[in-house]
Amino acid sequence: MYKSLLLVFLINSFIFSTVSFGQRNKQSASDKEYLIQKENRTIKSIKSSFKKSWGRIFTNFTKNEFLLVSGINFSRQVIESSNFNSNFNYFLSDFNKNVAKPGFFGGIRIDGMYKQKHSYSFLFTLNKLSTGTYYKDNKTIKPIVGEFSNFKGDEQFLTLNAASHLKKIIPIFKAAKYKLYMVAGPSFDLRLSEASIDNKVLSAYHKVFINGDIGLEFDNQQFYTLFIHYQQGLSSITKSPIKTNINRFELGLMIKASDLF
Amino acid sequence: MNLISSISKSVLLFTTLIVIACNKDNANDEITLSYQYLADKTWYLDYAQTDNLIKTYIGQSTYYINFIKNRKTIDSDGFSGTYSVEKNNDQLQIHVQAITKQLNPIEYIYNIESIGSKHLILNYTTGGSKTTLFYSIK
Repeated sequence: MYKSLLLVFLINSFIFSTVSFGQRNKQSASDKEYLIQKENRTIKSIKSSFKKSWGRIFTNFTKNEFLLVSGINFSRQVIESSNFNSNFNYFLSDFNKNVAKPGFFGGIRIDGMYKQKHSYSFLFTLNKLSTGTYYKDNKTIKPIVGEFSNFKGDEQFLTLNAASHLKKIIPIFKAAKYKLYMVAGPSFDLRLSEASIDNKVLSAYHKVFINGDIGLEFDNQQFYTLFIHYQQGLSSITKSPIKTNINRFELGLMIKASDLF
Repeated sequence: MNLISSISKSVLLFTTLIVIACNKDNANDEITLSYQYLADKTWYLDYAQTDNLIKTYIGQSTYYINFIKNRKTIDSDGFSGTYSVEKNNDQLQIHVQAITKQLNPIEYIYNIESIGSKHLILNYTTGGSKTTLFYSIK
């Protein structure tokens, strides 16, 4: 008697739990769908409001495409500091490395046409630069043996880069699906990272660096674009009398944001 | 005209970003940096130059001074006490207040001519002649 009652109770429990699990499953699926729709709506509203404000401000810039960019960079600083004096000495054999060191970057880019004639791009990236530092000149402190500088360049920077490039197609591919572009234009780096304590003392670094960019971009059937850019520092990143130029190569990949979102 | 307007708007946007991101670097951390280079090291006297005469102590038993992080100092002559880095009349100085082995107080101030992670150059003037001391870490 008890056994049959227990069996009935167990079967009932199983049925109820299965039903409620099914209901929960249905409920969570509909929740998920609602959330995805909500997410899509949010992305769509951001996109449309961005497009509207872009269209309002940049009236002659049309056929805009929004791309995501990332890649690695290799940077090097060339420092001339022989006219600079301070209370601090830096033994150059510890710092003088004529190499480019790797960093990385990521950001967004807007490609389009200016007045329906000129292809252009606006690029905004956050850059983590690790630089090799090459001291072109040095000092000696007699009778100490060795070469010194009174300035030690910072090797790490976090910058916000804004670039404006003109694009010209290089007609070497016959098939229309592959495109090779040459790009050139100015760019600005805004230093976001603090200077090291050595350079806080000297207040040696500017906040904004101006660069000249040139590069090649390979567009593979609009699936993705591979690029190599060279950025040459046009202004010294340090204050006079220290002259420091930073130059870097960027290797990167771009994809359309609409392919992802 | 539209292009000029667009460019000026971009420049305005970028300038705003610069203003937001700019925070003034502290220009007066010389003393902190000097402590950073000086402390927790034993400095050995390599050369002493008085006027044009240079004495070398390399390869010999030489004077040394240890600047400890807690601002205490002890040297090879047995002087122990405290030290501080100061800036007077735009000149960085090391100020040492110590007692000798015979418990006599002694106080001296050296000008910091140059300081780094491996080399320290101090000077003082007595009787019109300047002595420069070149220290290094081993």
